[in-house]
Amino acid sequence: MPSPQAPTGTTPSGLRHSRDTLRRLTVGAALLAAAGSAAPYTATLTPAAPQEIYLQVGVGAFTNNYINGGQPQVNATVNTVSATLAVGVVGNGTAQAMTTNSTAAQSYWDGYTFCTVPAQLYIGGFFRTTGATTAAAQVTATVPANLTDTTGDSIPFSQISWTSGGNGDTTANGFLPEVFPGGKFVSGGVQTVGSMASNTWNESCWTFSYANTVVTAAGTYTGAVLYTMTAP
Amino acid sequence: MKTSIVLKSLLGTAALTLPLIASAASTFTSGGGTLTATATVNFTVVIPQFLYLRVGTGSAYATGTLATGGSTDLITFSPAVGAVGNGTAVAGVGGDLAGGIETAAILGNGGNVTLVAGVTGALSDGAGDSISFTQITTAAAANAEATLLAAPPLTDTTSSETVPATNKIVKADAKWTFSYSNTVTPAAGTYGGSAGNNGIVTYTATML
Repeated sequence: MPSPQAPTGTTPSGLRHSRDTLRRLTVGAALLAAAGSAAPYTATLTPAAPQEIYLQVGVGAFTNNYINGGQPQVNATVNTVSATLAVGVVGNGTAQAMTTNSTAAQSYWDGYTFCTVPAQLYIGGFFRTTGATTAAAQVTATVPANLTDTTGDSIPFSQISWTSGGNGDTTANGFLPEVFPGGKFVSGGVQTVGSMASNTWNESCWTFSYANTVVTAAGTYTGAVLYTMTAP
Repeated sequence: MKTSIVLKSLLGTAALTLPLIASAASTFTSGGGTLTATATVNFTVVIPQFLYLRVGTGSAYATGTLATGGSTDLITFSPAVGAVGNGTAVAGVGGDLAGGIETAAILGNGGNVTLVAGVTGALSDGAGDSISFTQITTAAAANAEATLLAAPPLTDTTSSETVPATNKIVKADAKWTFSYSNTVTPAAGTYGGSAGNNGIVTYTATML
């Protein structure tokens, strides 16, 4: 296992610190983008053996924060993002906010309270090589055609979309646009939802909503989306 | 022996690079070559069962407003002197669309719906005279939804019809035009108009 690492890279600029100056200054994080440029919140990692990738969607697991030498773990939990519609609004075209049972508010990068739960779902991770810069790792979502209930009814997954944000992320401090941007599910498809450059940690918080544009049979509809991170 | 060592080495490499495909919220992989890590998220949408019925004044269902409210409309037929019982239908006055016309709609998401029209008896003038509800006809014309909601014919008791669902969804509506057939010659008087004179038709929708 690699030794505990601290982020390295370019010297943090004052502009980039405006998101959370204390957080970044105290940990000495270095940010990839130059001051004034638009870039998502991304921190550089020190290359180390072995090459490693970590993907977290919802709750995750680390032995400690990464900047304190923490090592990634598997968390077998599968979080749920859900919406329960009120009587009288079914199919009225008013989008319904979805919430998550994920409790992941803090980043395992440095413990910063990045996401707001239960409104937001954390997505993040890292791609670390042994040294050389490589092509970025891609993160995709494999989406079923429909959410289904136990009696054969269905709702297209395309009824679900998301926006992306994170505490402290603003255009002014250069942490926007998000590395995992907002989007909408493509029913029955595989779609790219973000990427991670080699030797970086990346994270965003997703807020999902149900479009509610179709009148659907009563029931509890479920479906699972598989997120896959692939590094070259 | 040498071959065995090489084989073990290859197996070890393969194990490191195998993608983790079990359901989880976080996974990691390490080693050389292509690496894959996965995470799964479940999505749930809970749709409540609802049934909406409107006859006359009511909420704007066509734009998604399903609400209880409105008032009981009154439709009045007044045959002219000299025309009583002559067989020429008489148009009504009143209704939310005026001219004896009512908005009628049923929306539901739990399967077929039965619509019942019930009355407590023939229209009465309170003096022992009566007019059968069969003298009042209801014609359905297209409204906002794609499916036309036919009207159960009025009788002096109850009548019903089934509104079929498609994939458990019912979205049907119409403009119901009430007319007085005027094929009988009753005694002069005011018939119905109140519950005491059997003047109220109650429509009841039931999801099957």
